[in-house]
Amino acid sequence: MDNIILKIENLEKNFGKLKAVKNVNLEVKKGDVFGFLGPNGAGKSTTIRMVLGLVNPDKGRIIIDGLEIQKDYKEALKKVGTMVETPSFYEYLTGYENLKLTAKLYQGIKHVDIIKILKKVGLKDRKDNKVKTYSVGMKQRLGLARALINKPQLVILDEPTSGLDPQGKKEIRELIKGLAETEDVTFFICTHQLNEVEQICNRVAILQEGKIIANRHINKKENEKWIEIYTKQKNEAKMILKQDEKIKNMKISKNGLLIYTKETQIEKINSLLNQRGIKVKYIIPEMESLEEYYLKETGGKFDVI
Amino acid sequence: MLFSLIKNEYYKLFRKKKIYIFAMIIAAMAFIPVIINTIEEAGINFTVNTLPLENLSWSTEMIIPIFIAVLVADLITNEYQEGTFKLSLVSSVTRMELLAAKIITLVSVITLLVLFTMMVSYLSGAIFLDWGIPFQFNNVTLTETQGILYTFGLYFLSVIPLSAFGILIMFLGFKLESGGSVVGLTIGIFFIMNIIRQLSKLMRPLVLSNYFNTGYLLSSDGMSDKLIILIIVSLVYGLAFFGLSVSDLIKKDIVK
Repeated sequence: MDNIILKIENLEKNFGKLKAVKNVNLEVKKGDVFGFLGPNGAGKSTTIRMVLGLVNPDKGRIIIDGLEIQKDYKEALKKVGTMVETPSFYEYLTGYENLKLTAKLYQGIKHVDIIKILKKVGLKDRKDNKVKTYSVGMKQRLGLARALINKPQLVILDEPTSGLDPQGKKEIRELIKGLAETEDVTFFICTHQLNEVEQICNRVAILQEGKIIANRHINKKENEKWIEIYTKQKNEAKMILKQDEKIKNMKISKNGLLIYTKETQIEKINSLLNQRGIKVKYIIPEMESLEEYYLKETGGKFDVI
Repeated sequence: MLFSLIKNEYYKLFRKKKIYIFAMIIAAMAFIPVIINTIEEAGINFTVNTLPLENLSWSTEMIIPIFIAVLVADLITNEYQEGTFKLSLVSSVTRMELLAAKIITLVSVITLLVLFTMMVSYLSGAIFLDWGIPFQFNNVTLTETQGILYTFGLYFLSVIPLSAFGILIMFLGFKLESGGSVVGLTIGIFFIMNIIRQLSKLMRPLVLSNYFNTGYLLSSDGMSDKLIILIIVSLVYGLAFFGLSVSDLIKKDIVK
């Protein structure tokens, strides 16, 4: 339980006859970069707004680091930084002034902290320009700076790369990845872009028509996956590979042997089997990508950018 | 937290041009009677003692109610529509704290503008006009200092009904979708209030705008009774619309 930073239980929200969120349950662990994926209109933003206390749920509980937001709103939200959709700013104020307004609502955030965060998002040189002169990408970066200003444990981002050109998207993703690694921040990222989740998240939940239809880890190249070894000498191969501690699971398949291990082990396994006289025809890793998986799950309702 | 929120509201307000424009309009309007005074054909003789009371009339019955609409549009409606209203709420601020900060800002800015009107009236009067006949109240001739204190009291009392009006408009500010419609509806409500005042003697005491220009408190006997009615009517309006705003804001789903 201590490792869970965000827990959503039986969350429901109706807008009139529209059931926007239907019995959503999920858990985000500390250190996760959690992707909350779904097509437009799936209920992602409504869920996020309920987590932030902006929309009142009809049913369910939201717990942030052990604090239920319906009961301990102030304390729970102190641990959270957020950027909801296209970030809004006081356009007639400068980037620095916008951050200062937010900083005043927390204790102990000084001028140097604001400058440091502006430097981190690459806006230090533009801090004294009015936000109305900023590009969309700069506004997204300023939104990210605002989300991080209170040194949150959990950062909730709603479509953080929305409206950005490919270069801008890349910059924001790099920034999130870097922050997750260096600042020990948990990210909860709401998006409809599959490749975004694939690139920066380690876990994903998929929402469709208000319901969570899948919740799983994301296979990255360095992660373990099922690999099929095409050979007629199935049992001999199994006996040899049984000794290998890096193989977590193994079963006989129609074409030979299925093993569960890291993709980086393929070359080693191949040479081991060859050395022991096993004729290997092919070694094929499981090819299903996140994109294929989710297109299958949702019936092709995602943007693949 | 409340203090920080109020400071933020003031910071935003004074970084915009609107408050300066209204201050300039008030200063210019306060000067108009001084100009009229120089026209012999007009047959009007304003003095330092009478000018602030003359200016209390138009400022509270025309300029400040419009400014209230513009201020509410900025504090509530435009912020909600532009998505900046939620910024404080996601920064560990409760809805009640934010509402309280907005109301305190509204009332304090109304107070500042009312006092500014009095200040520029005295200033322009002192530079260009004579002190004239001393102030009289209940058949007692007041010293100049006492006259200033009474005038200050009247200006200060006008803040009470004007603030209640501000809270009424604030409630509408949550309901409407643009700053323009807040200003338009405020002018409409103010116009209707004034028509009711003119047409129905029976309804007049119930109409809030009847109390904006507190100069009437000096005009005849029974000042304390009139003052009590002013406070009661203002409180009823203020508390009723404050309650409605609280109930509305607590239930509101903030989707922008």
